[in-house]
Amino acid sequence: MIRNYFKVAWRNLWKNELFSIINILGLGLSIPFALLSLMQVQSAYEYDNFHPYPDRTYRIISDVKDNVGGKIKYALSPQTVAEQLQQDYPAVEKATYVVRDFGWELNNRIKTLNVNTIYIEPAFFDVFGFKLASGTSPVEPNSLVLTEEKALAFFGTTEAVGQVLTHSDYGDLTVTGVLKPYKRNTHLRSDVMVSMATYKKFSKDTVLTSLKGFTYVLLKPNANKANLDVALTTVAAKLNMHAVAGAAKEQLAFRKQAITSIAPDFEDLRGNSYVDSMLDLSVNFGFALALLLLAGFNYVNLTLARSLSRAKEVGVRKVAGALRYQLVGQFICEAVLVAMLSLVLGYIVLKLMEQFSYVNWFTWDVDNHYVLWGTFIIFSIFIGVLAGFIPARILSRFQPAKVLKGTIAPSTFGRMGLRNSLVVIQFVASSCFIFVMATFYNQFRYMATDNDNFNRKHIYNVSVKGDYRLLQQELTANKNIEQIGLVSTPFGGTTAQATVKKNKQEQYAEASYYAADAGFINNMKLQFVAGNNLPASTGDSVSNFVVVNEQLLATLGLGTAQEAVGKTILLNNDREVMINGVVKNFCYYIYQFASNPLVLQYNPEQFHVLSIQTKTEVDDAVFKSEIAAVWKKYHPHEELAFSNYQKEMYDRYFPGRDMKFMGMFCLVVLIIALMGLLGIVTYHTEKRVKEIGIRKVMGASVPVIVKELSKSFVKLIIIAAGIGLPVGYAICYFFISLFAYSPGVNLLLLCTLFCCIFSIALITIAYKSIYAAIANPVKRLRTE
Amino acid sequence: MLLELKNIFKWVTVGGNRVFLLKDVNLQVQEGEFISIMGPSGSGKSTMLNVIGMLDGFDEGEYNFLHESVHKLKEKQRAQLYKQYIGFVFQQYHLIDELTVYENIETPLLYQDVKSSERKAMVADMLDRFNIVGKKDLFPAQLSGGQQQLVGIARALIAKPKLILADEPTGNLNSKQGEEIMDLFTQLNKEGVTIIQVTHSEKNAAYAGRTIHLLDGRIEQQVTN
Repeated sequence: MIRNYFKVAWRNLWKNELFSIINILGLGLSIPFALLSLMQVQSAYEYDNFHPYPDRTYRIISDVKDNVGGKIKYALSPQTVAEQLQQDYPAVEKATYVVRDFGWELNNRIKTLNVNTIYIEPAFFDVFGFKLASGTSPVEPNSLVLTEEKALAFFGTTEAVGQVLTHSDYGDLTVTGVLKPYKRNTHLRSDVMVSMATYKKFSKDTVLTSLKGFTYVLLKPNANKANLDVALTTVAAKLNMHAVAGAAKEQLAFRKQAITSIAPDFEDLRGNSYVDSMLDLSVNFGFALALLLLAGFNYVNLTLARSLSRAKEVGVRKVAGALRYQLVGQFICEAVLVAMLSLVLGYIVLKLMEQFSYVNWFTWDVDNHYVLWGTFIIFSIFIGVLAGFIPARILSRFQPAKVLKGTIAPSTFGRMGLRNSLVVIQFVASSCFIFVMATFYNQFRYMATDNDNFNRKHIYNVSVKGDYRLLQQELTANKNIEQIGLVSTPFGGTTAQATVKKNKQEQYAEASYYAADAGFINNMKLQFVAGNNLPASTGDSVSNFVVVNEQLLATLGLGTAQEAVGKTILLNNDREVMINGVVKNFCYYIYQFASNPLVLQYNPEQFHVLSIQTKTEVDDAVFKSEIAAVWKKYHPHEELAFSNYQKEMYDRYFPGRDMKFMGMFCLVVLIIALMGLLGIVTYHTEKRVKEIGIRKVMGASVPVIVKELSKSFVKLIIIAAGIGLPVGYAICYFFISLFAYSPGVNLLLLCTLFCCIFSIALITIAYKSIYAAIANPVKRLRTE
Repeated sequence: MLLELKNIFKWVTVGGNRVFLLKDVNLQVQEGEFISIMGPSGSGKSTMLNVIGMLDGFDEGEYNFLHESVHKLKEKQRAQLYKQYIGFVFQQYHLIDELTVYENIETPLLYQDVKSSERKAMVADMLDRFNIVGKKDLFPAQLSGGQQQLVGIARALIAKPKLILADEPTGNLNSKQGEEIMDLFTQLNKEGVTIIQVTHSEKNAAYAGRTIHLLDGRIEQQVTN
């Protein structure tokens, strides 16, 4: 019976090539996104599956209860827990503490790279499945191990033991070992693992209960797991007692979490870096499902549109004794077949996507391919059943006596309302998607190319160490150079922090701090609302003048900009400085956030970067070689670190691959909607062939017929426009309001895009209508 | 007795008025009979055939088929009954375009859970009997009208029904093909299959043992040939 179903389904596919292509292509283009997110889910379950003792390794997580009954769950725990467990509980074989640190940049004198960092204790390598390829684990302060990949990036070789990397705050760090490549899917993912001794050396946090890192416990092979729970309760009680003495208001409680069940995160733990939360995975999957739903609409729509031609078959089968459920089964089989073919196409598309638009925050491969394919196939069957169900129910309802007698007219198939609304939904959804993507694109382009906040044009940054004066002087002679500024670190990266106070008695506030000279401020073209730039200086001492932003005035309550100029503030609690100028608030760090208070001060000790402004556009390579020639004189053994600011910022902010990926998503949505429209229009014009023939014989002209044919569809598109534009605008407005600095929602862009979508849809309708209208009526009528 | 219609009424309500499709129809059919139903267009011939075939319901009256009270059965039980005992032949043949001759004939067996090997034998028999073995892999569109109707009849007979209901079986055929089909019906009737056919043609009606004349939904007269 099933074989017969599939046979009919297969032949039906071939008989209606256009509809089959629309269905398979639509599903096939949308399935890869779902497959990708299924992969994410599976890979989340394959997290941390390479450690040697999965059955007895646990992470200790914390519940923090405040005194009003609120409870917050953390993946983190205090450092002392590991120490106490190791010391006092014989069931514990090893306990180790890991601290994750963010925003590390390491420098090997030639280049600076961002690295993903954790601090580890020596026991780390006994508990987890990470292996060293060479060297030893880091124990001493200022020692680290790094991955082969980073070793290659820094030193060009994996033989990096003994080499030195520099951190701007922590100084030189020695490489004691190189890690073997390890599976990326671990919550301990990192490029460098630094000795815990380093952390202890620099950490100022001495509060016993502060949640700084992750505690891991390896139990002895035959230890009773309940013992650990008891131990945790005792440790927590002790800590809480201690905390009460210290007047802390919060109560801690600890729980164990098996290493294999860390990911995916169902509890939405705080501080749970590199673990996909179930919520994120679901949102991801939601998008993919929405896309599939749109493609599914096409299937429903086209199948129903063709219901008239299937009605006879239903009648005959019923007369032959088919029960309704058997017919439902048959139609669902057809949908499943389509879904299966789409899966094949979808898998190919997925592979192409991997090739051409690799987005590295997705996992593109998993460990267990049987499970993966099992999931894929079950998922496709599910999609098929879902898409096939509605048409199957409607089609199988036909009364044989009526359909076989031919008394059933197209209008009795009703459901025009359903089909029309599906078309409208598709167009609304696709225009909203496209609007949001365009808005994001707009935002990213703004962030990547913006010169309003600070100037990036014609700026080159050169990293300097030690004495830069002579280099600066000699460079000034270069005919291309307009001005050279000095700064601690360019805008747009991480900022140094300082505290500011109005006077000794007041509370302090956090501020961003840049050591800069007047030249740098000129280069950045900051807008002064009051006062002046820093006084020009080449001295070696820290100046007492600062330039601040408006936010600082607001935070400290210094009145208007005009009033504030000339007032003094207390910087870092030890130095009184005078406000020499106030600049407008601008984005110097992250576009999402409103600006913090900002202090710019002449501080020659902290100058690390020459900010060179050229007079005109210069050729990067030529300019670099000119600079390098001068650089060599002063730093014969070091490579020049040089960057084109504009390009650097573009690369930092423009997520090219992500945009490509999202662009593809949009394109697929639009294609699906257009194919759906094409299918429906085709079907309706074909059904009206006879009518068109008669009208032509009666003397109707081609334009009149085209108008007649496309009227109802144009109406649908206009309805879609009426819903899509405002809804799309609202969604865009919401997203853009997440950014403190943005160019706003570009209404003109949205309208232009909509016109494009609208005209593509119109062309689709017109193409089909004209095609039908110009055909020879006699030929058409003869076939009737 | 094979079936019995007792005081069957069937109507539709148009603008508040009842329009009768069947009006007080009484009919008894014995096993082995060959009956023609005649009457002008709209007289209720097809409706009566559909009621007998259980494809259509009625509003009043009783219908007994082999001692089962059809009017009291649920749809599923009715389907069970007609798929076992009744075969249908249509004027427009109504073959499934996507299936071959072989598969079309096989269809009713699929819905009666006949085993695959048994199905093969039964279909092969039928193909043989109708001399269409050579055409078994063709699709309906590749056959002439007469051949299609032959396949239609083969399909109606495959499940060995007691009753064949034919709605103008020769309506779309030329006279020679029509004659062949009528001869086939006569032959089948001799083998014991009960046949009820709707026809416009006096000539075809004459093949039957009894002719029922319908007018405006009521039986006007019954003639024994």
